[in-house]
Amino acid sequence: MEKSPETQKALAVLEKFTSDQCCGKCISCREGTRQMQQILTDSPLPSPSEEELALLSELGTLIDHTARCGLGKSIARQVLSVLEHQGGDERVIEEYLPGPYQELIFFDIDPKRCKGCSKCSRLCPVHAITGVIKQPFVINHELCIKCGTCMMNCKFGAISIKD
Amino acid sequence: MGSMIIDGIRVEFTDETNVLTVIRKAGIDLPTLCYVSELSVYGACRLCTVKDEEGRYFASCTVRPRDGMNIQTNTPELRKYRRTLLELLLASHDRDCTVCNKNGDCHLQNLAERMGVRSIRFKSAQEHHDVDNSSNCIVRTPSKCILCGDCVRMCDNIQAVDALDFAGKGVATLVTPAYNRRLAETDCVGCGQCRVVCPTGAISIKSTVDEVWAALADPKNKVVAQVAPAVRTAIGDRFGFPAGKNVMNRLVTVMHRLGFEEVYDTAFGADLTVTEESRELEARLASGEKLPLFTSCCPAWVRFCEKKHPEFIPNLSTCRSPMQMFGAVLRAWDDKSPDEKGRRLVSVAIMPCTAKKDEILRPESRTNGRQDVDYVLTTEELIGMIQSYGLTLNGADKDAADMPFGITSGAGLIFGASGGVTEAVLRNFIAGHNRQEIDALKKVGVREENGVREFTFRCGDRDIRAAVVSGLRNADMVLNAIREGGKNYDFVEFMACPGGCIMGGGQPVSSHGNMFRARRDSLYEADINMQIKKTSENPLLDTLYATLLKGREHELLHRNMTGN
Ligand code: SF4
Ligand code: SF4
Ligand code: SF4
Ligand code: SF4
Ligand code: SF4
Ligand code: SF4
Ligand code: FES
Repeated sequence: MEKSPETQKALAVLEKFTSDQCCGKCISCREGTRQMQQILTDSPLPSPSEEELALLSELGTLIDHTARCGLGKSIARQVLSVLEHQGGDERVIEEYLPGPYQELIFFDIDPKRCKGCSKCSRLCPVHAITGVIKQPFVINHELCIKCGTCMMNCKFGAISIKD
Repeated sequence: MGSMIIDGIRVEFTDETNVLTVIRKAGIDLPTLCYVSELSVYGACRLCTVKDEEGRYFASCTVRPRDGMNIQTNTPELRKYRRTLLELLLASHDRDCTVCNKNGDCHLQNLAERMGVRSIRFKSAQEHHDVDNSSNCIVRTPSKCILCGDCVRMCDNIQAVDALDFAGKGVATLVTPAYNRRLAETDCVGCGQCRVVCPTGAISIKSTVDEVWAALADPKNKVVAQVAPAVRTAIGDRFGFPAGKNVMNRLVTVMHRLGFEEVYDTAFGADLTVTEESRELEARLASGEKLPLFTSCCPAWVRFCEKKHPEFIPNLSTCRSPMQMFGAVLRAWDDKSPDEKGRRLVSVAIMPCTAKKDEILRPESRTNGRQDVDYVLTTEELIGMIQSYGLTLNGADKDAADMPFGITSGAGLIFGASGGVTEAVLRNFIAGHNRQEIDALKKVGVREENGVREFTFRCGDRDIRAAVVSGLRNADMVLNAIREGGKNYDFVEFMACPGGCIMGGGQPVSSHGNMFRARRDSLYEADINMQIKKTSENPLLDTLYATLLKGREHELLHRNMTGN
């Protein structure tokens, strides 16, 4: 059966995320998004049944509450928000708000891989990334809220999480 | 310094570096799969997630304790998260426990049981990956890997070898040697410390149990074994003995029942090593050449030196390790007085160590073209043999190690703990049986706990500058300091495993925390009970040097680099 536009959208987001954006380092996000995608793919209905939705929302909340960085959290929220509003208006997705914790991991740009394209710097919600075009950019760890946007969008895979 | 509230109870903290440690201090053993206190924090498993009073969640291992925190560790929701996380993990895990090397002793299995996982609501996402059997020491089974990264950090943070890493991303993430090579093609030194921290069966000991059973069953063989000092302080763990309990006497009886005809004590081999190494140090001090003298009894350290710091190879002692000296002597003894039934000697060594499995295969571990030691079994493998036979150590009678090599010194026994070789060698530099000096030596720093310790010991009219190093990252640091001229020593002991062989890669890993102190104290205790303190006081050595070893010291006791 043809999937509903919302389901298709959620699937597209998940597919891109699991294959390309997720760093794969924490269980909740790596395995959680994989299973969310699986449940949607396997569902015989246009949009997930009540039972399926319950499991999806359990996974989404789990990821939101336990993922290691903002990337997994915001994807989970995005997918849930799309699915929970089948047929309705697209709700504005809640922005990722950093907790005051997560102190011991940080995002870092590998100067050997960074091509200095400035994309991360333009997307960073708190303007934590600075640099000169065609030279490696740098993240200011004081400002960074660990949302993961930069890592998700770097075309050269130059940004990763360090411990 | 400060205090926080954990599940309504006030808990003080001092220098704990993360909230998880404070929670554990409060008596709550929060489940974790990626936290090892000696390693850097990684935050992969998320099982340690807790909630603060404002409803915010965080992984307690990644956050520093702060005064006034108020957290909950076991709300119904957190408990559900933990179970679901394990379900997710198990959905992509090859969870064939019944045929897994880790069955019954697996941290993942244990947590699934503790958290009450009884079914898995998710579709299996298992993938097949080839087993990497290329190393002589350990086996990697990637389909059992949960990507906790403990091995990666162990090999890098503590061992400075960096043989393992993450590859790929997202669901395609793998832990593997760089460029997907096999372990044998990397700088892996076989220390097995990655296996010690692995919570699953993804890294296991390369077993030769089947080969040894076959050798024992063959009537054309006479199978004998030597048992290293570190083994006796750890094997009791699995049979309910108190931590560190020295069970050598019971072990001898049980090994006889398994079919080992003679059971010898590797401490005798250590006595030979100490004797030779003391002479070597004497000679190098006299000539002033190739100083500092580096110990060579840890094969993982020797490999590390060869691979990462080849310029220091001349500093390595030419002495064979205790296991290899003993192996060579056993062969020579057998040649001289062959078995009256004409059986072939099969020589097995019971070791705390995975790297020893590689050592016996090295070209210089052969005498006259023959491999000196046929098989190395780790403590873990011997436990498996005892259990599969249906025996136990508990009820076993006590027996002493077999003659003619049954007389050993205390110095040979303490080899198992980091610092032991140094102390044993320096004892030989003390004139006579001088109790005050033997006791003074214990207190100069050789028995401290840190991974690098240095001290000067005055013997007669000269000072010997020594260092004791364990862990290869520490070794790397010390070698760099020596090269840059920042450090001057006469003698340096290197052990790959942090704490020495008692914490070797083939030892049982306890769920009751770190066994280091219990095992070390047990060896020092055994030393106290020995009448013979110094190897130079061992009467058996005199006899051996006057007979079997006469004129053959170099051939049997030193590394023969030609491979013949
Ligand atoms: S660290 Fe971030 S991107 Fe990586 S798996 Fe976890 S949540 Fe996803
Ligand atoms: S993680 Fe987010 S806040 Fe931090 S540098 Fe990247 S984009 Fe900016
Ligand atoms: S690694 Fe542990 S959980 Fe996995 S199959 Fe082996 S014993 Fe079972
Ligand atoms: S055996 Fe030692 S050197 Fe080899 S991969 Fe494991 S930790 Fe690294
Ligand atoms: S091999 Fe073991 S220690 Fe290494 S990442 Fe996998 S499960 Fe963790
Ligand atoms: S310290 Fe001991 S157990 Fe560890 S690798 Fe060296 S010899 Fe083996
Ligand atoms: S122990 Fe904290 S995330 Fe694994």
